[in-house]
Formats: sequence, structure tokens, C-alpha cells
Amino acid sequence: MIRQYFKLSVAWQQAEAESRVCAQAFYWDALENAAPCAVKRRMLAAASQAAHDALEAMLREGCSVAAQLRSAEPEPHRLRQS
Amino acid sequence: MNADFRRLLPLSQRVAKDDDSQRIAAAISALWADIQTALQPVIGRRSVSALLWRALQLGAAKYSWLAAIRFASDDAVNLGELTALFAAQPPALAREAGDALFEIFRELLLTLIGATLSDRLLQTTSSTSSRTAPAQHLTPI
Repeated sequence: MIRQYFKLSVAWQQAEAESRVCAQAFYWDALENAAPCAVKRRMLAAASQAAHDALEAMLREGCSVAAQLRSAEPEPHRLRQS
Repeated sequence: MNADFRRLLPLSQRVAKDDDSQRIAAAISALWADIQTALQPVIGRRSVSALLWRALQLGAAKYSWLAAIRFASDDAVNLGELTALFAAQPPALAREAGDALFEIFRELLLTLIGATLSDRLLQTTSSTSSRTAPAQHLTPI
């Protein structure tokens, strides 16, 4: 579970970096051309969506990890008994 | 061009002094395939494409024939086309433009992810230097 969360975290970092670089490329294009080319627009949209999806998946997995850890914690009264 | 960049200049390690344009073009193609392999896990496939596109756009200011490269169907740079373009140039020009393209790309990468990580990632491309490019290197970036 933790390993899966770590993998998702790496995937999100990659998608986020991809999104930032594509946004920068789009900006360069917009700066030099009145209308940024359709391909760069498409690349930016796809990279942003990938980053969004990866973050969503990571948050979902994070909630699930947190819930499992909580359920594995010993109850306070059991701690007192021991 | 600083000393660090000299150390990171992989094209010079991949071609011999008397290599013809075909061999230089094949080495350039192999170099970009290695760059893609090194960078893709960190910044993603689309980022590598976007940066190479930008490098080609900037490089075309001096080497106008670079502007002839078109987008592949998946928004990637068509490496086969890139190779053919370099192969059609005189050897000295192909080598010079190949070096220039790499330098522009490295400068762009440096502004985005910093010098330390850029150099570390690009160093892996110089350690895998090969004299020729196998056919599988011709996948689009």
C-alpha cells in the first residue's frame, strides 16, 4: 500500500513537471506567435490532464492508506490494559 | 561554451573526425534517443518533445533547414525526418548543427530544472556513447 502510494507520488511529480514544461513551451509559442500552434495547445492540455489525474489518484490512495493505518492502530483501552 | 558543457558534449564522443554525414546523422539520432530515455522518467515524454521542439525552433534561426521538421501524429518530433535532414548536410555543418542543437536543448533544460539535475541526467547520455545508431533509435520523441 505504501509502495503503491510512493509510485503514485513519483508519477504525479513526473506529470506535474511535464505539465510545467508544456506550459512553458506554450508560453514561448504564444510570445512569438499571435496564436500558439494547435499541437502545443494539445500537448499542454494533455499534460495538465495527466498531472490532474495523477494527483487525484495519489489523493485517493493517500486517503485509503490513512484509513488502513488508522484501523491498524490499537484501541486506547487495549493500550491501557497492556 | 563552458568547461562543463565540453565534458557533456556527447556528439563528439559518438563520431570520428572523418565520419560522413550519414554516420553523423545516425549518431545524432542515437543521442536524442538516449536523451529521451534519460529525461522521460523525470519530466515526461511530452516535456522532452516540447523542449526539442523549442530547441529546433531556436536552432532554425541559424540553421534554417531545421525548420523543415514537422510534428509526428502524436505531437512528437519525427526522428527519422531529423536524421534525414542532418544526413543531407555537409559533414562539418551536420556536426556543428548537431552540437548547437544539443547546447540549446541543454540551456533550456537548465532554466527549467537547474544545472545540477540537468547535467546529471545528460551525463548519462555521454556514458552510453555509441558510434552508430541502431534502427530502434528512430522512434519519435
